[in-house]
Amino acid sequence: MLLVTASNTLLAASSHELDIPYPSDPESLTADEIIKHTWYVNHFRAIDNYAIKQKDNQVTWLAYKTKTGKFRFRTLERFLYNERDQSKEIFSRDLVVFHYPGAIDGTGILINDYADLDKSQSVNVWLPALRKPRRFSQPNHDDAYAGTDWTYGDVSLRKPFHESHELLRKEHFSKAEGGNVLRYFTIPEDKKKPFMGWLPDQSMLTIDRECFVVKSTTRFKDFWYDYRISWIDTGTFADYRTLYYKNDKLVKWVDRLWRPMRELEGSPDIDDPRAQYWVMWYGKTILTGHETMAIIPPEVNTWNETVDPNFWSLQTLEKLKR
Amino acid sequence: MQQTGGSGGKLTSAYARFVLKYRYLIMLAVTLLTILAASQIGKIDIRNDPDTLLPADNYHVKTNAYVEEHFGMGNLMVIGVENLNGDIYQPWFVNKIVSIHKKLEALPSARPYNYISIAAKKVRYINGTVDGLDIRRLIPRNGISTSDPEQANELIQQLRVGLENNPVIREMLLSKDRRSTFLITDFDETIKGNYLEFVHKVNEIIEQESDERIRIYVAGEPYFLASMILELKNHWHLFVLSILLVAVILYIESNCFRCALLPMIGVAISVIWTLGLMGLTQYKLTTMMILTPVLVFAVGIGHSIQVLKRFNEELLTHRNHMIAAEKAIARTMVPAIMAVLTDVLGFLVLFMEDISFYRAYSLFGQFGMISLLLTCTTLVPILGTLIRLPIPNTRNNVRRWEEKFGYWLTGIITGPAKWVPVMIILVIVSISSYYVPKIERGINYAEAAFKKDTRIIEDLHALNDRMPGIISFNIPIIGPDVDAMQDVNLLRGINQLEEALREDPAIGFTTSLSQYVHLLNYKMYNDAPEMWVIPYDQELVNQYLFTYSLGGDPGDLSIVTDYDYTNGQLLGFINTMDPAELHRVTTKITNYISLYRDHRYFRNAQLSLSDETTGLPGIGGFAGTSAATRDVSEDEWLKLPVITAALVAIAIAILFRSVAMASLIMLMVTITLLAQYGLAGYFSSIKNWGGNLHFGNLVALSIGMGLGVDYSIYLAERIKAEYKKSQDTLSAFQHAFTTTGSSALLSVAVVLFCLSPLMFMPLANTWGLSVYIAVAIVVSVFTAMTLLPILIRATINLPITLTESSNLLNLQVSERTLQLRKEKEDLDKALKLLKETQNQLVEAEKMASLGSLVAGVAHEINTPLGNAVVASTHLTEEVKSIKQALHSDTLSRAALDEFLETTDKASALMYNNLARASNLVQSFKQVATDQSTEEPRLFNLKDYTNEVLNSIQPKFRRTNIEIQVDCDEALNINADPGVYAQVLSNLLLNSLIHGFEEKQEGMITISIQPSLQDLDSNSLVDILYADNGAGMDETTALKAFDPFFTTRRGAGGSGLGLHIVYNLVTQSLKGKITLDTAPGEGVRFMITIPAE
Repeated sequence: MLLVTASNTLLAASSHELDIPYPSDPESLTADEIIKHTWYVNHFRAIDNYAIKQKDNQVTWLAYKTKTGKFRFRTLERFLYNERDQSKEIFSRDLVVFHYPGAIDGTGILINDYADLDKSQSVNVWLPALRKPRRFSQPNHDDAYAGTDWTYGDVSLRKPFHESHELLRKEHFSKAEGGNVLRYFTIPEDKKKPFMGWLPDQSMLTIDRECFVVKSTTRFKDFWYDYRISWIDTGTFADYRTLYYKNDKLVKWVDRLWRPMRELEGSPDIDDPRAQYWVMWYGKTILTGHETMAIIPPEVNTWNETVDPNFWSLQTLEKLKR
Repeated sequence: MQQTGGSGGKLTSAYARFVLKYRYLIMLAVTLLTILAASQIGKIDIRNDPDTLLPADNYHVKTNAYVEEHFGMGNLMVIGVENLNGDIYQPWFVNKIVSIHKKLEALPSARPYNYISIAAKKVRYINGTVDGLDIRRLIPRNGISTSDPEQANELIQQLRVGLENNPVIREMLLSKDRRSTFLITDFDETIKGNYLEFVHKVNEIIEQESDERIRIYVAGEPYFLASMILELKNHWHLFVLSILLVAVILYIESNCFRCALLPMIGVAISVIWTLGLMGLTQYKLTTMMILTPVLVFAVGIGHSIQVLKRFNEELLTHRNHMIAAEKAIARTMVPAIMAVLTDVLGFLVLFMEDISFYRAYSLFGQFGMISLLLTCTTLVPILGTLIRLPIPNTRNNVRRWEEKFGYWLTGIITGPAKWVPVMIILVIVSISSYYVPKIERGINYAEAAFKKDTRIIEDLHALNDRMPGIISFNIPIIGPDVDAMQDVNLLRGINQLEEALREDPAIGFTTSLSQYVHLLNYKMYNDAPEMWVIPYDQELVNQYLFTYSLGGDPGDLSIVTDYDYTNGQLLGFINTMDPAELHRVTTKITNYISLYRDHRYFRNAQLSLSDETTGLPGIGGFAGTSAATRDVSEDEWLKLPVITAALVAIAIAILFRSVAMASLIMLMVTITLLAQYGLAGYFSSIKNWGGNLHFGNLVALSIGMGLGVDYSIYLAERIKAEYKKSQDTLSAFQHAFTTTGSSALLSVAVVLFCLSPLMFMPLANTWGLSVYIAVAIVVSVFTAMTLLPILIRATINLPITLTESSNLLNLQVSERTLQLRKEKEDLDKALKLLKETQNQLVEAEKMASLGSLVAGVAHEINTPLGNAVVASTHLTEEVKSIKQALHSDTLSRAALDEFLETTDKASALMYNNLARASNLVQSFKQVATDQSTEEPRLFNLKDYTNEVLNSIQPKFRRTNIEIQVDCDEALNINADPGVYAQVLSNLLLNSLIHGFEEKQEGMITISIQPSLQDLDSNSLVDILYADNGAGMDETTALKAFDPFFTTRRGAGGSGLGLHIVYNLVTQSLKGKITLDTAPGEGVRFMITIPAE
């Protein structure tokens, strides 16, 4: 585990302390508070469970692109469970199952995150061909997530106290570095797969929102970045863009396209503006030129379904069908 | 060259006249070009790019390029760190590695994601557990905290287990004795433009991290290449020193500052032009290219020496700078073109090869050599006219050692001692023939780059001892589609190939995706030994690799597979650098590839790239580069030199119009070439890999041949020319050796001095080139001066007009003359003593001389005065008689008439004699040199000389005597101009009256210039007055300056003209005057006077 010197104001004994209500006056928040809300949004804490499941030909897909123009694709389903009972050891459970390409179809990963911040995540992988789950150690914050340009820190491990935060300014996203259109890359026609039917259009990718601009400086020594700057929606706390800097040089670019859950059919009961879902993630490592894009078609999103909590278990992995 | 005869001579004469006519314009153009070229030198791109070293179409090169494109690792540097007090499993040592790793990551052009070390993120601790896999960083990113010993111990154990139980990385990162670990770093192509900053920073890191507990070793292509450039830069003083030595040689040889300076200026311009062209084109160059400016410099000096010698010879003959320059250019241009042509041929042949650095040699070498025709053969004589090189005297034009050398060598090659050089050559040929079969044409890149005793080679051997090998090899595996590398059959095939290769003791390590799959299966089953296999289940393999990638960065397996598993590679290390052994191993690898590529396991993948003609498989890595390099040498080691020789032979045959002469010279070339091959064989036999016949040294054979054959051509041409002049073989040899032979010796010395910096640098590549070229030139000169004349005499059978014994007698006399000359020098010392004594005697004699002078004057003036006295006495007597006759009235008319007639005659006689006496007195006054009334003043010699000539011109009007004046326009002296005018007038009248008395036609030349006795201060002026009149015999010449000595006594001569000149020069002008004359050869008065 990485050693962290946490600030008193951010230090939490339990992950549950990060579950905070929507502020009455979002405009007057401090940087630390803004980042806590952003963490809340990113971990879907506004809902109890969340899933991106394959529906007909619609599925979440990942596209990897090298600097030389080589592509790789994967499809996956994801099931997230947020434990509300603070007496429970588990804080959240996350099950990811890969389907494409065929050789890895059914390969699943179950990650348990514990309320105790000193306890490492447990990672279990199901290899269908091996017919048994294997336990893996918790990845590091700087490890790439499934070969993407996002780290485990970006996706799940980083918590607000791992960084110190400074509110730089508030500005319209159109003034953000790189402009107000989120980045993405196109897939050449001859490379396209049948599951790539849905893509966000240009209007979706254009963000017309006021943002907090927050500078977050890592507390890790000699980390892969020194600080990052995020453009965070002043109303929803969704972070649209995060730029990572090392020695004041841009090293990574991450864009996210968020949409409010309440816009989707069947979700009028969610009042919290922080209830957002992803439509697209984009990442680029400047040094290598490698890019990753995740597309989550709106139709595949489901949440707060009635699911037995035991679904997030090794048994489920073992029962996964090809 | 005589053989090129008429049209060539006319052309070169026309060229010489043209360049001299427009010399100021040419100087201006040259100056502007030189400034332009100098401004481009900063753009020279010495980047030591290995891509420029080999032909792009070689199958190993193609394979290497393919591997680099797909897997990177094209610019690897390896840092080995050894714990001097134990194994690597010490927290402080691990932290040291972490620190070094981080600093290396910050280097310019770094590709940190390709770094492999125990501190690298991609190098993982993979350990099987009962229920799973533990995959994490081998050691924490920031090292091991020593404040918590328990935790530190845990991390050290993790490192130990992670490293020792991982056969895939263990061999790469851990020495067998566990005391050393290695950091393998990779850099992108931009490093090639920034080597110096890179090597400085690496050395800085080594310095910062070194302490008494560890030893750091560095190797790898970028560090090697960068260090070569650094060494070149650090040894610039050697080049300055060699240039100074050359300047000293030139000064000693010419004994004249300006004569030493001119060649330096000429070649400096060519060198600047060549370097400027390199900068302008921004050609990617290697450190070996330093040879080009060095050769341009050395060869240019040789050309300059030849043209200057000719200039001085012509100056001595014509005593006119413009004429001397014209003749020198016209007469040296043809042999210079011949020499440059052969030099160019040596370079031209290199252009045939599609190798960038060969072509760079070719282009810039040809340009440099051709430019010498303008800068040295043309510009040096032009500069000679502008800075007024001193007119040499006979003694210093041909120096004593040159004369002695000519006699000595002629004696050897015409006498029984001629068998000595023949035997020496036979020994060279025999030894060379013995060593030729031992020639190794492969390359040990490291020792071809650096000398053995350098730190960089010591480090390399240390790393080779500690690592499984340092010569990498890559075998690309090319799949048809995405994930092709994950095919279990292919993985088994790769494994079988690896196992076969590993049986060779020279192959220390191999890895591939197959090894990683083995490892994952093994670890997945908790290190069960029987599970070190490739699973049969294809999907399991796919899932293993997918699982591995779940926590890894894109490209974590990039050393064995590309991003989408379409292509892969087998990577290995060879632990020998011996070129022969390396060749054996690489041949074995290619044989195995040929064997396995048809195996069913490789049915869906292509094992390596192939040669389009032979189908042979290529290999990448340093082994592939070495193999490709060997291929070049194999193809070219005979071809390039033989083509060069053939072209030279054709050129010589055409230019000499003599097959026999061409054959002889080709024999000399063959001997030189054989000596070079012998040298290569010798170096191979003692395993000196800086000197064996690798492709870098191969260029030296053609270049050395091109340069070396110059001497044979120059000498053969001179022998023929001298023979044509004297019709005497021995005389021709003697003159040829004295002139061209001695110049060749001087040129060789210059070339060797110029090459010496290349020899003394720590770089083996420049050392190798310089040794080959030095040997080529020494052997060429030796054969040209010994075997060539012997064979010319024996085979060309030049007709001999004088008997051999007579010639030998002459030779002996000449040798005796040399001995006598030495004795004369001893006597000169005694003579100097005698002269001092003589001066004292002269002072004593002056009084006696005064008496003689008075007697002479009395004698001269007594005659007319005596005649006048007699006439007046007679007239007095006559007057007395006529008076008496008148008083006595006895005066008759007849008596009166007689008296008047007598009076008339007497008065006429008295007048004539008194007038003569008066003239004599005037002359005596002139003898007394204080007669001038003018004060000394500064006046321009050229203007005043022309005024004197104008004033005296009427006396020459009716003659056909031409007067030429050659005088520097800026030359002034501070003296009495009247005295100068009188000296000049007297000499001119002397020539008119005495010199041209009979023919009334001829040439008078007056050459005025700063004295060669005092060049530096310009405080003396030489006035050479010469006519081509009757001259004087020895007796007359000895008395020419004596008073009253005349050959025209009774015809108006007083015998005082030259005496007055002598007195004016020595007393009024405080100078010296000498006379050089012979009957029928005119007179040459050399007057030297102070300018002030």
